[in-house]
Amino acid sequence: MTEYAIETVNLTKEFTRKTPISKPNVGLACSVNEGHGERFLVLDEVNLGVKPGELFGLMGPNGAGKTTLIKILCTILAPTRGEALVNGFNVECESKRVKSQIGAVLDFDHGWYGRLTGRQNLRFYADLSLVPGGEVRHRLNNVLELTEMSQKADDWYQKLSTGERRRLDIARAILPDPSILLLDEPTLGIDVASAHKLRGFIRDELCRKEGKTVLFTTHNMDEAEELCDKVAIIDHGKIVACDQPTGIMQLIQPTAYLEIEALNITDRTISEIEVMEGVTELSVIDKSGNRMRLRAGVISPDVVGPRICRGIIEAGGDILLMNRHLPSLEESFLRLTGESEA
Amino acid sequence: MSCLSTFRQVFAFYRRDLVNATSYKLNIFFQAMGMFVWAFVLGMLGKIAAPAMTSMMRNYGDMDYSTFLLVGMIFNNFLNESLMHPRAIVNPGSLERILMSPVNIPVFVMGTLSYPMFMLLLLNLAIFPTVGVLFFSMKISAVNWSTLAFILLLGIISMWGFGIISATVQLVTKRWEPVSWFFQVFSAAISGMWYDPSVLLTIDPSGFIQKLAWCLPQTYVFYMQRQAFIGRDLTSLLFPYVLNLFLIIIIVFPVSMKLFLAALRKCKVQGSLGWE
Repeated sequence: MTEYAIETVNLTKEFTRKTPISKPNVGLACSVNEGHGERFLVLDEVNLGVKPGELFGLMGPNGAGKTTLIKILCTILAPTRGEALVNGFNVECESKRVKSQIGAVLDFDHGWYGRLTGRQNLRFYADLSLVPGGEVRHRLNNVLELTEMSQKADDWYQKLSTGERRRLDIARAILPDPSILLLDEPTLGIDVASAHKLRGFIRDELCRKEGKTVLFTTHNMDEAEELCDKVAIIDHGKIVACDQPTGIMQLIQPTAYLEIEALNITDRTISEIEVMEGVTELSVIDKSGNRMRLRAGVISPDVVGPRICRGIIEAGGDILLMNRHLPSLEESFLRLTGESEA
Repeated sequence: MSCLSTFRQVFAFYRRDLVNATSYKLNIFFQAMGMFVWAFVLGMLGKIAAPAMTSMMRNYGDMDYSTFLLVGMIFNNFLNESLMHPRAIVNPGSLERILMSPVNIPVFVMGTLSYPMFMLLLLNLAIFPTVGVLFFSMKISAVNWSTLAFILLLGIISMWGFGIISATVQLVTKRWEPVSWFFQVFSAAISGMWYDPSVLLTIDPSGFIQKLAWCLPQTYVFYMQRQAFIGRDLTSLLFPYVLNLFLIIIIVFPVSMKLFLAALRKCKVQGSLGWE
């Protein structure tokens, strides 16, 4: 038995497009012109491991391959090369077993019937998933309550708002009580308060209490930072970073900012700091009387910070305050995916 | 998977479609009204055309032409639904989601067909025989019901095969599918819904069109169900026809399932399951 609930080994997915497109698609790994069409590498030898009970976030720009990866794990897309395993079962050869292990939230409005109520729709999926007959009613009420849809459960699906439909998506995913949840942007379209509650529900109820493994994609960095045990950043079909959220932030830590407030800093001291090893940029952001506030971009702040302080003090200045600003997960994401340059 | 689980999944589709259909309050009423009017039209047409059909009707005991048409239409509706409805399973809005659930493809097809078949059974059997008996002297005393039911079942299964091939083509091409068109057009023209296949010899003495007609499963179904309607059973005249229909089913059904699974695989590779 594998140590991972979800594991991909050199997972690669290529698509072929018959009509060549005129401009390159953002996020797609690469395109290769061939006689019969244009091949696009959407996942490029992706290796991931999600441990049981882990809350794993997958982040990346549009077209990076997040949904493709989720769809492969859901067995509705076949990989071109490599392997994807769910609780040790191969998504290609053992798709039936995989299906019984997962619950998934994918695109909006798929597989819902407008003139059935939310409850009737869920009942349909409970029967297809063979939820034990005696438990259906209890499970339905439970998931509707958890997703705060009890009040709207008997309205036609077509009358529900976008957010309510999203909640039903989640209710459907957790209805058969799967051990693994694959959530493709689960909070998309949900208002801030409900999204906050939903995040709490995913983390506290599903992961911590029930021990479910959750793999979810998101564009929301705060969400990933708040929720995830581990985050992978995918770009152009490749995993460019995979670690705990703090680990990801530390990956680009060397380029942190130091904010220094000091007295009696001379122009000569500023010039000396500017040319110090490890200082990438320096700017005066405030000056009043003999009090000055500096902002220094530095590589390895733990080394360069004390050096700057020493320089100021030796030149007769007094340090009042020094703050170190680590990049947020969002800044890390932008740097790692190269989006900040764009 | 146990029979009970299969039945539960099929029933889930049935209930879904029933709830959906009954949400359109007048739909079933107007569907029934349409059938009622259509049954009258066929009955009248039978009465008017009966003198010209005397020689053809010798193959069908004392059945009159109105009954010939009404009985044919009951089965025609079932055969058409069996042919057309499997395409509903490739609906891009729900295909991905259903495939993510632990439902087998045959259960998916059966489930999707369960409600339309039930409604057809209900409406067809209520309306056409009623109109026939009340207004066009249809005789039902001699009907061999068990043979009729068996032939209906065979007919439905045989057309499912072609319906699944039709769904397969649609799954791959997304729009164009000639299979159901072919069967509908040929069925109307030569399979025996409107006249016995022997009539085809009058327009094509070489017998080619008639031979072509006997390649279609509908021709066997129409012929056998009318024979069952006048009391014949499987062990007498019908046996060779049943064997031929079986042969068609044995060849077409597994081939259709293999083709459908291959098309699904192709779509999974292309990522086009959810495309319209």
